[in-house]
Amino acid sequence: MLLIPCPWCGPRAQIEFTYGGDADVRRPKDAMAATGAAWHDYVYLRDNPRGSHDEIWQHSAGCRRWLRLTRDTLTHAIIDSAPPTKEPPS
Amino acid sequence: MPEALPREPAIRPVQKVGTASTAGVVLTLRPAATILRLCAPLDHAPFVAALAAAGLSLPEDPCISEQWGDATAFWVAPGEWWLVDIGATLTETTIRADLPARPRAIVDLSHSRTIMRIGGSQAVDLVAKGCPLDLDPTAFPTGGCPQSVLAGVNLLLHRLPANAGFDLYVPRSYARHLWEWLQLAGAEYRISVAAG
Ligand SMILES: [Zn+2]
Repeated sequence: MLLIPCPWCGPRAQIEFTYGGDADVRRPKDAMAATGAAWHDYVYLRDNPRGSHDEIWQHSAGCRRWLRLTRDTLTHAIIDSAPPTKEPPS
Repeated sequence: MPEALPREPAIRPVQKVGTASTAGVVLTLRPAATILRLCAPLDHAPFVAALAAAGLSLPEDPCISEQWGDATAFWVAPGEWWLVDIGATLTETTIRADLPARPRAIVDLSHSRTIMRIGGSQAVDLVAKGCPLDLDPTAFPTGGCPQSVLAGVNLLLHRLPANAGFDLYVPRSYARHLWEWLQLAGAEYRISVAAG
């Protein structure tokens, strides 16, 4: 069980949150031109880092806002928790 | 605007009499209230200012409520509040009149929630059995209104003044489940059910 700091509500139990996946997955910019391999990569392939990992979570049973969490997959330590960036990173 | 339907209770509790004096927990079904959700997610400053000019100050800090007589304003998310009025003097029409037109949304949630009150000396112990929140008054003070989970149900908890316990804002279709769970989980505290 993780204790996740919501940027608004403060530290809350993991069961109040929904995991939204790797924060750095990028949708192919030109959907029509993207290759099958690029779509396959976007939909299915994920890194599985040992250590720091940027993730998105939703405080689904709380304020229902999305947040960006940096978490150590080895120690479960929470490194950072912040509101999502306004613009999708390029 | 369509005519509002009368508010029917989601459950009809059976009173358990004769135990209130020794009960550690007293469970009461609260009367239906007007619940309005106000939402101005992008820029809520004009919205807060307009309501303040009408004498209604919205809480700006997360998970904290503000009392206005019979009505309460709950912070539920950034730029989002619930106005709850037991006296039913607040209506969507009156609130709408006080607010700048855009950007904002007002939704009447009155029919969507059932309000239950848990009082008594062991109310905190009962909530702790099914809720992951830190219930210490330093983390969850009087007037606090965090949303969380109780016995698997997403809900809003409002901590009442004078150690009066908690009001639970329960999604209506989960009301029966939670009402039964509270009685089972509260049995060891000699729970008493008031008619409300
Ligand atoms: Zn939150």
